Amino acid sequence: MSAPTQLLTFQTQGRWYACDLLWVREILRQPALTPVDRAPPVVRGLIHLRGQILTALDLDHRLGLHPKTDTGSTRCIVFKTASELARLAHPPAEAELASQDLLGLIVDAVGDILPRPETVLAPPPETLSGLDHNCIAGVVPRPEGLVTLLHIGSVLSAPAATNA
Amino acid sequence: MSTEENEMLGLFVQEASEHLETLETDLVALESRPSDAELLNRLFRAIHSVKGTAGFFGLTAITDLAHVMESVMALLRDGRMHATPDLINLFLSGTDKLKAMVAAPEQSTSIDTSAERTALHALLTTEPPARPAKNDAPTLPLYLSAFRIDPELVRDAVRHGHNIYVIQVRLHADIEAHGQTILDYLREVESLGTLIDTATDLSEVSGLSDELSAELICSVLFTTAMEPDLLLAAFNLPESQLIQTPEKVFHDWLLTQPVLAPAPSVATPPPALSHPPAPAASTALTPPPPATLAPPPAPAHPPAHPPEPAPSGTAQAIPTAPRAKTEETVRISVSLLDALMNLAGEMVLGRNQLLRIAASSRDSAAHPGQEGLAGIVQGISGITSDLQRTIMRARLQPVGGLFGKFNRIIRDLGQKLGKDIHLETVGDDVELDRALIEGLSDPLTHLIRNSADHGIEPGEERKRAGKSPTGHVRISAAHLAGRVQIEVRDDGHGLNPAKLKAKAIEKGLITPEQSARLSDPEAWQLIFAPGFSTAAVVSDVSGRGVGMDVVKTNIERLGGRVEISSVLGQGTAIIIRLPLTLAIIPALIVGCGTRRFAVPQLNLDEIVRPGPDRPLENFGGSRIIRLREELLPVLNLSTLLGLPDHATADNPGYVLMLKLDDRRFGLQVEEINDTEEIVVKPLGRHLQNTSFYSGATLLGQGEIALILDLAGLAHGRLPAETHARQLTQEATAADTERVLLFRDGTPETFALHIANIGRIERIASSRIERIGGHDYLRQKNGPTLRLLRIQDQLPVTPAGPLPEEIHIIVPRLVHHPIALVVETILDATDLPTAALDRTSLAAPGILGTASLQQRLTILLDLYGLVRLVGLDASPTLAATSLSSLRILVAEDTAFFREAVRRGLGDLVGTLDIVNDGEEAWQRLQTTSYDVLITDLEMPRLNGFELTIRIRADARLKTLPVISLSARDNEEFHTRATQAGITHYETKLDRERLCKALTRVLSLAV
Amino acid sequence: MQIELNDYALRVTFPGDLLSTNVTALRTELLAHLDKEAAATTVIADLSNAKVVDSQGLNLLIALLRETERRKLKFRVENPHPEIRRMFTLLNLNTRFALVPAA
Repeated sequence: MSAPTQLLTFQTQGRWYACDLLWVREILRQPALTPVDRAPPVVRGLIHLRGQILTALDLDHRLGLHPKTDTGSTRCIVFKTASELARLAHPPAEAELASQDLLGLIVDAVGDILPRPETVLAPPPETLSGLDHNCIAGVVPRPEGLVTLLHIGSVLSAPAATNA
Repeated sequence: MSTEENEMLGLFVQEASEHLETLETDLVALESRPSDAELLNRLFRAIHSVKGTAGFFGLTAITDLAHVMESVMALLRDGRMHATPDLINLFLSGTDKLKAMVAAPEQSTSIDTSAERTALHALLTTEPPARPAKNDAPTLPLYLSAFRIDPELVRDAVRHGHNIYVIQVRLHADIEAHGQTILDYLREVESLGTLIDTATDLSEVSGLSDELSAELICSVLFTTAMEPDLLLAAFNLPESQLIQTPEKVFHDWLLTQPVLAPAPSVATPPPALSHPPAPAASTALTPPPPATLAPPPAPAHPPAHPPEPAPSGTAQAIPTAPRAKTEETVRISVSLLDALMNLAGEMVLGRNQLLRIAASSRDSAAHPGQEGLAGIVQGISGITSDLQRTIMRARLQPVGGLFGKFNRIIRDLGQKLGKDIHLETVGDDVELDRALIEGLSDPLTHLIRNSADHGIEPGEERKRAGKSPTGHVRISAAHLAGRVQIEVRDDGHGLNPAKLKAKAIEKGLITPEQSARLSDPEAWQLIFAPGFSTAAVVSDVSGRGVGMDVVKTNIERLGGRVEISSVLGQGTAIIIRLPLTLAIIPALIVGCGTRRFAVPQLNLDEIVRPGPDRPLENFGGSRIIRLREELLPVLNLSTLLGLPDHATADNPGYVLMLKLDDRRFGLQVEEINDTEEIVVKPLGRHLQNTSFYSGATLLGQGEIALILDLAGLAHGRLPAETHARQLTQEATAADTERVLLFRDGTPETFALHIANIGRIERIASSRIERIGGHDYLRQKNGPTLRLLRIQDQLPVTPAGPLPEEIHIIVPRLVHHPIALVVETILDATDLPTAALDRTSLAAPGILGTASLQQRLTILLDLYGLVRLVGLDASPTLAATSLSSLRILVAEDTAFFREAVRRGLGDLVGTLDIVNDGEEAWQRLQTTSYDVLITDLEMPRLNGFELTIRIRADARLKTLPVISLSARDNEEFHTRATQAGITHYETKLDRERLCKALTRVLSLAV
Repeated sequence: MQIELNDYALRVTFPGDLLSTNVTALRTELLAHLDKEAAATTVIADLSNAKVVDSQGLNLLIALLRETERRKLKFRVENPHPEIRRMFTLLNLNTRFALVPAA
């Protein structure tokens, strides 16, 4: 279990989040999303990525927030699969939660890459309210504000799915 | 552990697991053939191998158990102990423990094997020494002493099931005299197997002083898969010069020889000859006893067996069966295979795009130089197809691997349940895509357990039934017409429809009435209903919450279907039909809005465009379509998915007629695109439980189309099977009316319901008298009839003067004497109800139009016509008693609702008409009626059931019920009486209906 | 047949192939040479000129070997053509003939 050495930051609905950069495979701009009707709301849709089909998840839904309307600008953060993580000399934390599915997270924007945070605080109650606690590792204070550090492995694992 | 060590360990796990699998299979087989030397050898070798390789990694927990198992196995092999069922159980238990340890080698020490080891050790010590040991070191027979024998080569030969021979040749007489050089001979020997050692007998030669007349004798110790006959023929030798040495001879000696660390799977090429470096004197070779050839212990390969190449320098062969076939095989990881599959799929897509482009640019005048392109594309296309096919074949595995496991299951179950059950497997060679085999494992296991547990009766019961005490279960696989058919048959007591129905009623799955109507095959289907279990005791053996409904669902998810067939007292058969491959299937691409979906071609019967002659109608709450005399339910894809429905009357889209098992239904979609071969890509975890989709695929331009799971779409949304059949039956029974066709001097053809016709008479038109602007006919017996002409009442083409002879049609049930004038009677025929167009030509006196016998026919409303002339069309019966009646009518066919409305509407006080029994029941709760007229066959709640409910209800039980039915048969009558129906009527007999009403009400009064 | 004596090693270079046709003659000659060169302690059978050795030829060589054993002389075979070397090896005679390993 290694602590992240670099973080990728991203934003939805005005909130800033971060995750371990080691999990990230690539970032797509304005990807063409194919919606899946009658799918659980956490699934924003499917994306065709070089011959493979990626399941794009909605971060807000996953965390338990209720998203407002589209901002129009979207990015999809594509994450590594279990076998890609296994090939790393030092797999990141929660790598065991990964699966062979190609997964991505739909966000409004992607921010800077931050170095390993010196301090990670426990999240204040307001940040946590209404959110899936398992996904939150803590908050990182930044000049711009608080960035919520996510347990990205938990974020990507499916909570018990319900039937359509 | 380094990656390399990891890989090695991985290889160990794979190889040891395979050995343990064959071990298990062979142990089960051993029970029926306890003295089979071949089996015992295999068993020994398998456990020996596991012990050896585990030892390499220092996995002492595994080696300890394997060692003692091996020792006892050796006793069995040597005939010093007999394999009893208990012993076999012990071995099986040991094998299970070994499997567990091998699966997780790092934790192998945590598994407790003390029980097995103690028991096995006990066997070793109690075994009396069969013969006194001669000396400590086991020796080889004398004739082998001349050779330096590398134990590894011998072990290798033994492992591969090769024969070990000593071949003696006289260099001159046997070789050169036949025109072969010595070197050629030796090379030939090398080519046919593995040379362990040679010994040339020099004893005959003394010195130069003597004549050089001695014959040199060369002996070769050599292993090969070849059988003796073949060898003798190859070298043209007499039998006396070929000695086959059975492995047994080497057995003990081998145990004393050191074991080298086993090479990893890819072997380093052994040198063609391995000679230990230390030279040993070639001792005088005493000529071996003139041996007759020892008979080969194992069944020979067929004589036409080609010679084996020496195993040198190629990748280590992994034997598929313990007696290794000589096909070279390589291991390939499953993920690599999947990657190849994906790539093949992508190539297919690219190829398809290329074909499209090539087709569109075929105008070579515009694109000079493109002429060659078409040819090249064709070439690539062919190669792509071949590539895809070949890769798909790589994924095929023989189903025997799966079937083999069932031997153990049956054996264990048999022991546990105290039943003697024999399992026969047929078609072990049939190859299936490995994904299918994985998917079948659970369902088949359940079916096998079911047969053993519920199907096969206990021995006593079987004897009483005159059956053999051994129960038989047969699992077979066969390729049939592009599908794979797997059957599980048993000769047990079969399915008892009565018991099944009783159980289903008890579980609340069906009502008694429904159950009464089920045929035997329908009763068998009850097994697949969720929550059903016929076991008197839910045994832990098969009742683990995996029901037959899950089996069915799983099979359907694989794209297959399950059928069941049984003969009471004789047995049951479950038949599974599957498509051959999963990964690439032909599918029809359809669209709803901007979405694209794929419908597997497999389930698609035809595509239908709804229109005036094939309308989409509503029927009891669902949409239906009529297709060639059948009514089939139709689902709307847009609605199911929550998308806006763009279908309009002008653009109703298409209806895909689908078939799923024996369920047939339609799926309405907006657009149809092409049929394509699509690569099925599985959906990720997050979408696993969406029941509508079974996967996704990439279309030619890169768009994603979701593959529809038809079973998921249909689930719970189709009327039950029996109902669907009911619909059809009812429709066919009631949907035609007998009509009379005639003409009245105009181009139009008219029709009248025969049921409404009282009589027809031919008269001379001269008899018609015109009085006061109306026509009359005086009758000899009977009142004077007022005559009507259609043209006077309806907006039809006026006719000319009357011909000499005409017909008059006198209606029934009309109080006032009246008749319709008709010139020509054409024919009586059946008019299908649904063919009636009630909207195009609507007027009083006209019920509708239809195209009959290629003519547009106008169906007349006789009573309407009568009313048109201002006469009272009421029946001859006293109407007053009826006029205050409040009647509720339950009728699901639109036509008859209309007919009843017209027939009774103006006679009674209140006429409320509802669409089915359920609605009627609801209505009865809130509103009071004097009489219920009900159809018998309706969805949701039919007439019988409705009446039963009414009779059971305190408030309603005295309500008179008249049933209307198209069917007039014994059975219905009986059921009607049983249900409590007051009066049973056949349809559309207005007079009778009124009589019935009167009678019924006077009864009530 | 060429005979050379160097340092107590008697090199016998056979003129050609060792076949049943010439073996008898060679045998007699060999015997004579062995008798004559009594000082030799090693006998070398040089097969540079022999492309083929058949069973009689083998016989001869083995007889030669036996003879040297009887006379307590050392014996080796030199310069066999590759095919002949192979044959000796396959017959497990290479050690008896003390074949020098191939270059």
